[in-house]
Amino acid sequence: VLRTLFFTFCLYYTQSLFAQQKVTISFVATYKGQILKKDSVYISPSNDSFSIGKLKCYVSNFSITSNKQNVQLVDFFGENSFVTSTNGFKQNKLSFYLGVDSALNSSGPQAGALDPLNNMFWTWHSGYIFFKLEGSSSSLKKIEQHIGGYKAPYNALRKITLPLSTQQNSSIVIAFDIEKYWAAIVQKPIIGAPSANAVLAANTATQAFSIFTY
Amino acid sequence: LKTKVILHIAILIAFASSFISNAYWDFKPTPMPLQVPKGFPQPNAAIFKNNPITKEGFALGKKLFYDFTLSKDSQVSCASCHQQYASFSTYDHDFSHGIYDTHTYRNAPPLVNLAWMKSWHWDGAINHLANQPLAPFTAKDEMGETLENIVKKVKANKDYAPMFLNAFGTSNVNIPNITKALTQFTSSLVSANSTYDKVMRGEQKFSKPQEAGYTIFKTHCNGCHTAPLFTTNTFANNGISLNDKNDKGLMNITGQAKDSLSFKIPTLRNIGQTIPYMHDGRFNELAKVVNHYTSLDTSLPNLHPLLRKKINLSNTEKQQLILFLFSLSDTSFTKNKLYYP
Repeated sequence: VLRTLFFTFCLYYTQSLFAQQKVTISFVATYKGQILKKDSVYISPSNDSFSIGKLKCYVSNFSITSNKQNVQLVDFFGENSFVTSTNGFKQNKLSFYLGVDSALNSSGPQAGALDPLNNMFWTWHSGYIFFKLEGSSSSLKKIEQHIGGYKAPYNALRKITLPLSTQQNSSIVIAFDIEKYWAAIVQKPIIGAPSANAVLAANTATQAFSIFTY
Repeated sequence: LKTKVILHIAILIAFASSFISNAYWDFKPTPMPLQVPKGFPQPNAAIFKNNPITKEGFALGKKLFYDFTLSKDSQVSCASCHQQYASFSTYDHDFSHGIYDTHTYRNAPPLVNLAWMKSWHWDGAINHLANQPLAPFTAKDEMGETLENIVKKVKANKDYAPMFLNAFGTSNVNIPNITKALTQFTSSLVSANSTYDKVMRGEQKFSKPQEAGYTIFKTHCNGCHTAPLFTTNTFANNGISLNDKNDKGLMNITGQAKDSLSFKIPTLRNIGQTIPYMHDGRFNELAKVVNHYTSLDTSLPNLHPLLRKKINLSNTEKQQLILFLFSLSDTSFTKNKLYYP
């Protein structure tokens, strides 16, 4: 038994020698420079009070990771970080997609991050919800944005490119600024299917991401 | 010593592989590939990518298809609305019964030759056959269950674990494997042995009125209900009026005004068994369907181009056409024991 364990240990050790550099990518929602807390009440840019109870999104095809197809489900108030292997930071920018590409939208149910059990899939109208924001505000009442769509003219998949410091880093924190996104909430607080409004909201969302520095 | 080393390596490999895939050692499902009927085009390959039909997967899919307990009130299975004797539609119902005495808002389409389609549902909302079960599982007026509970119920039923093991090499019950199994069953529902097919194969002859009806069909119907599938599997506005459910069909999905009242062109195979007709079952006999086309206002907006030309048929010709349509009934399909629960 001991020898078996030793063999196993050797196997893992050899694997780790060949392993690539790891990087942790995390996501945080921010409001006015501070990390947004789930269900906490804030004063909005339009001067009413609001709170966010759910904020989730799919992110995919990170430029710095060795596995480009990698899709991650980010829960800003839960599982908001993941570790991925990288070939290093040769470029001074980082890009990723907000959403899931057309092929993955039409391949049938999948396991892992894309499992429909994650409630990020429209069962009545095949396709992933790329971005889900739910909450309320005193003037808008209910806020329930389910943004997605992979077919023209309502394709909501967006590429996001952020500047990156060239110095090597094992941890990257990406912020989603509710203040910058607020206009999209005011414009259409309730979105439940691929549509022109979903496309506009996705456009605004791309402007709300940045590299977070504490 | 040598044998000892070999033994250790064997143990190590077994140990490591059990970590990697959790694989079932004797996993050898029996292939049961789709038989493409003579004259049919190739089916939609995307359906079978990563999910080839096997005897074991088909058997599992069939069990799930007939499982009432998957619905919220344990009263509704897939087969409740998709009855084999009605070519897997709901016989003599405009709308089907969902859980707690609810009614659906559309007529249950027959499950026939699904493997040749690129989208499913009257409005094409479903983009992959394996995504289809998710809709009735969760619809409030169908099975009304959550996907979490579907997985829980399948896990709780002890019959299923060995079936998943045999079908997929893992007893891991999850949504991808549940929907893959159902897809193996539903994609196997192939009908191509009607009187029409027998006539085409030279095994049988049409009656005189059917022969005349076939000519009428080729002139006026085959453009959209194209043989041998008897559908182009595309969408068309056939001049049907808006119903009280405000169902605009394809437009509900695309948001495009030009798609208003466009619906998926249904197959005419087994049309004698799929009464009533249209997306809301508004016509309870074939004569009313034929009359719809002969009395159509050809100036309606968004109407399919092939319907712009007035169709004039005498009463005799209408009868002949209907007799031809009955030749599309395939009892070897509606009574195929392979599909029995």
